[in-house]
Amino acid sequence: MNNERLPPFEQLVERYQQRLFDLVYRLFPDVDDAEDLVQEVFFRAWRAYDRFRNDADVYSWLYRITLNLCRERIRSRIAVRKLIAQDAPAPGDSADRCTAVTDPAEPAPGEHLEREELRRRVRDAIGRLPERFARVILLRDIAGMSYEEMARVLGISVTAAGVRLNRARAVLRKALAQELKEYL
Amino acid sequence: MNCRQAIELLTRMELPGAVPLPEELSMHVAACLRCAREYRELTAYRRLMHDAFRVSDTPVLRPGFSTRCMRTITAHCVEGCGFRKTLTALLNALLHIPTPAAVTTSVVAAVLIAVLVSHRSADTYRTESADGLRPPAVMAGVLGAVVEPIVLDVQRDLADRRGRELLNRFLQ
Repeated sequence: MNNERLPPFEQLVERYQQRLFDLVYRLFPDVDDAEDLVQEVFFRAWRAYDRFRNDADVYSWLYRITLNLCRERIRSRIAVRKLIAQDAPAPGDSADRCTAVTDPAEPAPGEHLEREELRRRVRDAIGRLPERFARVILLRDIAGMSYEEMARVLGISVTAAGVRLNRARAVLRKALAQELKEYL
Repeated sequence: MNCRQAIELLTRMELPGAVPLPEELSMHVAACLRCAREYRELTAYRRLMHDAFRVSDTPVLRPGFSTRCMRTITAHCVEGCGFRKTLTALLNALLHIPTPAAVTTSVVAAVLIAVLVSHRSADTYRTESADGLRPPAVMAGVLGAVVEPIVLDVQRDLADRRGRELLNRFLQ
């Protein structure tokens, strides 16, 4: 290891695991998924730990790795769903018609499913944002960080973080126009 | 208060719509159409985000997570080290010719190459090759071309060693 002053890696895991898990769990509310992702974050961090400069902020660095991984995961899920959708029967197929006939008789989907669907749509919209916008949305609107904390993680000024957040929200609001109609 | 200040305050608010606005801001929003619309849209956005990502109780990581995490990392490390070790050994064997192992490996490889080449040649030159050589001769030619530098290398190495021994004896 290049830098002798760096704390042992186990200490980092102990110190930051729950905070990272909280953020990841909000996006992917499945304990197994979230734990896997946090583990992947630490694995990536560990691979680069010997090159890590001690003057940099470990907390911000770990958050940035987490944000990148979350975005990658969202995008890969979008890609998988696209592939599945290509294989699915086209609208108007017999299976679809059957569903349409049976749908009114079925009970309305539960609140949990509706929320899951809403979460998926918003998550996908965030995944399609440019990286710099996705990061601020994840940090502020999902992790609930303060402007100061967000600026620290991103390594920019508080003003710049605020400006970027406003732009990101404007783009996201456009992308979620359909969903937002129900809330207006 | 102007629109810029009002929008900045609205943007920074944790949950617009959930708590009453400060009086000055409230008066501005009531009087300004643009800010009123912004306020409505921001409230809608916040409520949407809240509904989508609200977690009533974030679970605590399961016990032993850090141990599992470190075990996985160590396993990856060992795997990586094993692979690197094999690769280094292979490179050493190939680069430090002639060592007995490398010579053996090279000879086996040369024989294999020769057999493969001659088989291909046998298909192409069933009757006679362009040089008038038949497949066994092609094979011998290829084998010779591959093995010759190795044999020379071995001979040179042996000669060096013998030279060093003679020099040592002379110096003693």
